[in-house]
Amino acid sequence: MKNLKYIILMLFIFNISGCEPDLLDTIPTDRITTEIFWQSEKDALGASTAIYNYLNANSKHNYIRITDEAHCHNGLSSEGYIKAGVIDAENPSTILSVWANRYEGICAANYFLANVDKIETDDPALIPRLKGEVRTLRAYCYMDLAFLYGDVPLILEVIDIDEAREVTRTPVDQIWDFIGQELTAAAADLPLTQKDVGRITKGAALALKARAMSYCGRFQECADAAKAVMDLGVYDLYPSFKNLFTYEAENNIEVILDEQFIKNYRSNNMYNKFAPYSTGNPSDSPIVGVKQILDAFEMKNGMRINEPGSGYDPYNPKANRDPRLSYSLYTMGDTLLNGQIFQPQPGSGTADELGVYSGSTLTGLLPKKYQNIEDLGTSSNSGINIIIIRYADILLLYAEAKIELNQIDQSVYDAINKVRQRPDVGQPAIINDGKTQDQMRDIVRHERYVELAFEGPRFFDIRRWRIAEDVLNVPIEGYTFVIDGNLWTAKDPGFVTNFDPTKHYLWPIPKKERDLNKNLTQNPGY
Amino acid sequence: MKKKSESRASKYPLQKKILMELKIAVFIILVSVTNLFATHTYSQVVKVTLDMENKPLEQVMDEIESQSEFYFIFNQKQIDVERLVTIRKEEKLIDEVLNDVFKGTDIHYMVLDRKILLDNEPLDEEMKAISMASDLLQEVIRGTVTDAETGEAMVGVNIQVKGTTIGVITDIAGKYSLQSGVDPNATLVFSFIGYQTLEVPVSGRMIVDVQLQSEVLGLEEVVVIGYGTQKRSSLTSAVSDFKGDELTRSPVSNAPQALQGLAAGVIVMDRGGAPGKSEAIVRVRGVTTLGSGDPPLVIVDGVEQSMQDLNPDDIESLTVLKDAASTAIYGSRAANGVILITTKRAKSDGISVNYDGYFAMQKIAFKPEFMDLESYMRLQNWTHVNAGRDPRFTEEQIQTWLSTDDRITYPLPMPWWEDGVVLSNAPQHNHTLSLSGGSDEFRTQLNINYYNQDGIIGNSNSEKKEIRLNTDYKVSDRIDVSADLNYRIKDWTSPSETSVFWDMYHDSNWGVPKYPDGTYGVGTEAGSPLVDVELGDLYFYKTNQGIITTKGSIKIIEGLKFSTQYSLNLYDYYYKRHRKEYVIYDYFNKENIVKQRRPNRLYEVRNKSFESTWNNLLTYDANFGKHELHALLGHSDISHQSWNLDARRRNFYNNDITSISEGDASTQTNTGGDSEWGLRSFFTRLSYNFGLKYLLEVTARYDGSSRFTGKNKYSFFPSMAVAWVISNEPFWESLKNTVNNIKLRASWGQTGNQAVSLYSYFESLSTDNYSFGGSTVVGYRQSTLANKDISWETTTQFNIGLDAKLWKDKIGVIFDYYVKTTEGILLTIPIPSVIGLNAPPQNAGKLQNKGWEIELNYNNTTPSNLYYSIGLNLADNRNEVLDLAGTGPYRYGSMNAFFTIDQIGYPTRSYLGYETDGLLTAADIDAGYPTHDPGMVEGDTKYVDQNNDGKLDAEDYIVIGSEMPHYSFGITGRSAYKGFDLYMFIQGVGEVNAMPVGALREIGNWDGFTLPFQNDYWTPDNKDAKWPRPCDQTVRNSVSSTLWVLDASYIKLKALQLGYTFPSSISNKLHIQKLRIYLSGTNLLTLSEVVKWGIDPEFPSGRVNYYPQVSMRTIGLNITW
Repeated sequence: MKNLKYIILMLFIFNISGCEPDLLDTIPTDRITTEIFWQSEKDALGASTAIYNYLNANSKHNYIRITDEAHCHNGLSSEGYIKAGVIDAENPSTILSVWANRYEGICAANYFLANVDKIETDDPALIPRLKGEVRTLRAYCYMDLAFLYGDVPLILEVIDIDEAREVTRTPVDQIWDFIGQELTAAAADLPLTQKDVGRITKGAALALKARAMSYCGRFQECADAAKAVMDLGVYDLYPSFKNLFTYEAENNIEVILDEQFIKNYRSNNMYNKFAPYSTGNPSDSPIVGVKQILDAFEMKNGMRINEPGSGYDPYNPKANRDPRLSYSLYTMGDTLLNGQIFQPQPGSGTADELGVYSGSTLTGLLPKKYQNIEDLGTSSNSGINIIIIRYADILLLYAEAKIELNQIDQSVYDAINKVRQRPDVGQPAIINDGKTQDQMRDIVRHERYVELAFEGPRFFDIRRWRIAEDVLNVPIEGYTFVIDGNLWTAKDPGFVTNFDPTKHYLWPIPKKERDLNKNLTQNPGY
Repeated sequence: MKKKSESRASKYPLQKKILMELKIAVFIILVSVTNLFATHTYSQVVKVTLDMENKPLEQVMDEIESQSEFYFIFNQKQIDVERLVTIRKEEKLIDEVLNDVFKGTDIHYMVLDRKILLDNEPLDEEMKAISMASDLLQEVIRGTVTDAETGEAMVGVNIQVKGTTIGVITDIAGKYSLQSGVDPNATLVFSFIGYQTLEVPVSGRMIVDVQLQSEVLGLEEVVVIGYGTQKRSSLTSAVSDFKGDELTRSPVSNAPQALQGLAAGVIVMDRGGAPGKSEAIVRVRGVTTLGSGDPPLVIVDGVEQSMQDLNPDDIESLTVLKDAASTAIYGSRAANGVILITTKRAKSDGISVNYDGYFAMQKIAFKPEFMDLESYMRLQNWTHVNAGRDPRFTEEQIQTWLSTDDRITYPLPMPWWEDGVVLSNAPQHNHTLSLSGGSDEFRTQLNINYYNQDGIIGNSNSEKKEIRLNTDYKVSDRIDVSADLNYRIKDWTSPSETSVFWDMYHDSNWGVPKYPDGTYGVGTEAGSPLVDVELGDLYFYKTNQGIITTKGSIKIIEGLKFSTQYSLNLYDYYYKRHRKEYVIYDYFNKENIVKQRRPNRLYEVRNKSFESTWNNLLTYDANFGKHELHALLGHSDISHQSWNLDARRRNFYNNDITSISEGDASTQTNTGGDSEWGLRSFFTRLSYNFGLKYLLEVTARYDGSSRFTGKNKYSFFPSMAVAWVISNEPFWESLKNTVNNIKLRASWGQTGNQAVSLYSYFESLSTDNYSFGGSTVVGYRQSTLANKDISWETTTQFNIGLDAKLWKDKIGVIFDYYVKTTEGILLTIPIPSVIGLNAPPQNAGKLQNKGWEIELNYNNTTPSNLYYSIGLNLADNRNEVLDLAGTGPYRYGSMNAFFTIDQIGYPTRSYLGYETDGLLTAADIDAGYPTHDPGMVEGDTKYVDQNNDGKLDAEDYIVIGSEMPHYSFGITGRSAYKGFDLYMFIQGVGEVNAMPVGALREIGNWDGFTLPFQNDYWTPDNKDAKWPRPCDQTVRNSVSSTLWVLDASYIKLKALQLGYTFPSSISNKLHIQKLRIYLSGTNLLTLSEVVKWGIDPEFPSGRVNYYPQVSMRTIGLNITW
């Protein structure tokens, strides 16, 4: 056996390689198995927290491009297609992604509600409170679905693939019934304020109910819910409209619900959406303002600019206007965050010159809300909270609902005037001189337009008021410059807006979804 | 007679060569060879007696040689052997004798042991050393090499003394001589391209004449197969195999490129690529899963590895296993084909040193042409006018632009493409030094590789360093042990190539690359590829890979052998992306900022992985009369772990400070994760043949994977193959003169694919954070549905084949036909979104690949010694989706970009879009012909309303093309004549489409790159136009449609190489055994429809914003010492 040593050598090789008995039973360390979850309060808090991501304020904010407030500078954006009426069951991708995202939130909520009762806790209020938050978030997701798609499957439990392939569309009225009841029930379990600022409160649930009921035209319920918010005594207007969208004003008394962000950690791109190209905005598809919103701001005297004797001077369009104009829009001659002057006029030679760069504005107008010096030069890294619903919105909803119900009493005037007479706005009060319902409807709608410009509600307002075809199907125009003594209005004639009232009030049910579930019908016209 | 008096052109070249060899050996291996210079004393002992008067010097020398073992070495031209000499000496030492003989002449002598050197110059110490070394050699051997068939003398045959580096090459008459003698017991190795290598023992002969047989096209070659080797004659499956030198014929950047076009059914899409990042896509017999497919399994010396970074010079053999009979033994990883690679190991005794290197210049292979200035300006006017605006340029502006030379004030639309602006020629060089040798008991092969490539854009470079040491111990007749070590470091740096090439086509129009004062210019869309290169992101990547393998085998009894192999594969990469900050001011007004980016950011990733492979094989080989049996039983364990960490920070002091901790700590974020997987397998193979006439082979593999759970954890993959060698039947005898060998093969088998993400059966929650009141809060959410039933994809393949050799092996033919069906495709089939979770992979869908392959080889040597060979391979593969489990079809991408579909009856990822029917006419508009969007008018593209429902929508999209090539072919031609060799390689594919996206199909609408022939666009005066009406900032004419489907079939002259091997008379002067120099070019000529679009037909469809393929001009050297 002279080869013995080599056999030993080979056995040694054999040995170091060894045999791992659990080779095929790898356990991941990068995720949490569901088997060990749902045990502690921490799990309940964690699972509810994740659902807040479906508030979606940042991406939803892009819809302002499909309104008469703003224009999609870059026609290639999803919103551009929708605005041009180039929309079918497959394109643009928003049709599917919004649907999928809202059901993702709903599923997370259903999953939470199906499991949270497994948790044992000493705090009897905790689980009901968290359920209230999650139910509100679920209703919030359904509000979007019902508004955008009409009849949608109402799914309130965890389902499997086979069930998902069979669900049918629930009539939209039943969805609104559900939302109304759900928010009422949730509000009952929710506190007036939360220790974790940003969590859903009683006021938030009620405010969302007011909004939801306005979406479906149930104005009595809307008025009641709005009134309930007003009666909570928690909210009031923030004295400075100018500062309402600054970091300093975060979580102020006017904010009922917002999506919370932190610079560097959980950031949004609110700065990039609007910032002038010259202030280092690398985005080449900013959201630009249009002539309609510019013209909507009243004169300081409370008159509309086209009213005789309003004092409006087209050669000096910014003079003597509602202060909210300068708080809401960057216009020619404004000082930018970097100290330079905004000069979009042709031939200015600045980076903001109309159409010179794909990132410079096509209209000469840019929204100003959420533009903060803290975000200058840190693109896509804004930490500003995005307001979803604020007290002024509720006051105007209250007024609107009462007007629609033809219950026009002093409280309606008070609500509107409170908004108009915020300390740094100070527009003349609407006088209670026996205005008709139509007059009052025009006033409150106008007030919503200018007060809430570029914040998101307008997208829903022009649709629920059924005025979208009137306000959208007009040429895209911008600021009117004085060039060599002549007036010259910026425009984008290449872009043709097309809102077809026979179908565009609803989006199509995504084709992919219908391919996977033959029970889903399509909306008319698609 | 021992006297060497033949005329030589130089002095002692061979000896000098050996010395050099030794010096190198000393230098490299640091082994002392000083003992070779030990003093010999023969001359101090032996005495001679001479008594000669007026005899020619030649006779005197003869007399000395006859009395002693001394012999003379000299050059006849220098030494006058006729000179008359008188000498009388009795019993004198040789020194004294020689002193007398050469006194008064100009002849110098030197005695070195038994050797007497004569020269007409003083002999120095170096000569002494040379001569001492050459004492190892004893005899002179000469002979003639002829072709066995024709009897013609063969020129340029390489003759080597086995186990040494001594070698020569035959001359024009086929003669050779090993001039300073060879050990009479040595063996000579005769080799010549296209001929079988012959080993002939000298057996004391002085003259060794040989006849070489032309290479029998691999008939008795041994082919590497799964877990073993097999004689080609007993193969029953479809494999293509290559020797290393076939792969390195033309300089390549990586091993996949080397494989391109060589094997029928193996498609390599060489996507050229930036230094260090080259992306050659390898597909064996089509794509076996939905999507673009997974790469074949690559096994290097028994261990799974990537082919990408392997040094092609290290490859000894490469085998592509194509049918299931050959691949099934790799079971669950084999569905995409298997490529087996072995690396070079030392074969001979003694030491051999080789150098292979080249230096190349790269230039862009396909450069698009830009529309002429005037046409482009007028086109821009149309885009604006058609969008309802004023013309962009006045007539005066156009004339100014055309007439001026002032390109500062009036910049050109696309100046970036001019030579030297962004693109410039770049060098690439590669060096492999190998040292191989040893003894019977211990042999090693050391390969050292250095590779360096600059990019054709700035800030772009890749460098690779690699050492491979393959060591074999033969510890006894029964036991072999080997230990291999391979370590490589590769790094690359680059700017963001996708940004650079994006800006070469988009967003950079009308820019001045750099103003006279060095200020960067940007285009009207604020883009500049030069800024991207010089100021933009800088990426840095470094990878280390070490593979250590040890293997032992023991012969238990005759025919029965056990072997075990253990291998560690350590791989780590380090990746850094540095986003610099910059501000670019307006050249004309330094107050204005035209482009800026800040803050600077750093993103850094560190990833480590570790994989161990343990293979155990028990093999049994036996012959019983005409029965031949080979059996294999094996086990394999693979265990893989990896760890990943990445970190980000912003706000660094400046662009040069790039260590992570120097960034602003308040901006830091980091992520990371661990993962592991395991594979445990048992497999067997049984091969049997009867008289090499009837062959049968059965294999089976039982694979277990950690990626699956429950009953799906293990799966079974069988195969079976039969073959019939008709030519070995008695009735074939009469046909043997024409078809000397013919074999029919048939096989069936199953393989699997387990390319599914880890833990997909695992129901789990992942973090999804939110923030409350300024602090981040951890949230948990289930994001993906778990699928516990997940299992393997199974590919069943049927193959029939024919191998034939005609006219005494002059022509070889291999033909195969296959049907390959993949079922249970692991696919993330969309699930209804209402379920609210991401879809898990499911086993659904069925796909088929059908095709045939033919390989033809012909080689010949003419009577005048011109050798040539032609290899041709042609294959067709048809890919078709058969079933989508009642779902689908599935669409990917979007109408505005790249839009594909998986639909039953079509190849996977077929292009989807509208059919076009010319352009809309006024009559169409009047008739209410449906349009894609309401703004479309006369002159816009007319899309076909397939379902005639009066509107154009998703229902009207049809399959309009496919990126999956049908035909692929390669032609290699080789020729050798008198030291020259020529290599030519042509390659191509047929029936394949490409689709540009972005600028190339926007015709100026977004101010992008525009091709000259797109000038034929619709205007009221040009209604017969090929291209639609341009309209600024609209995409209505550039959505996916047949208008943009291009025929991407191509034929490429991929490589042309001319080499010259210096005759030994010259190389010996340089102390080199073999010296070959070559000139080579790659990507020399391409015939394809897409070339005029400036697109490389091998590139993927899309925005063409990728680093382009290059064409190389190379000079290279192969040296053997």
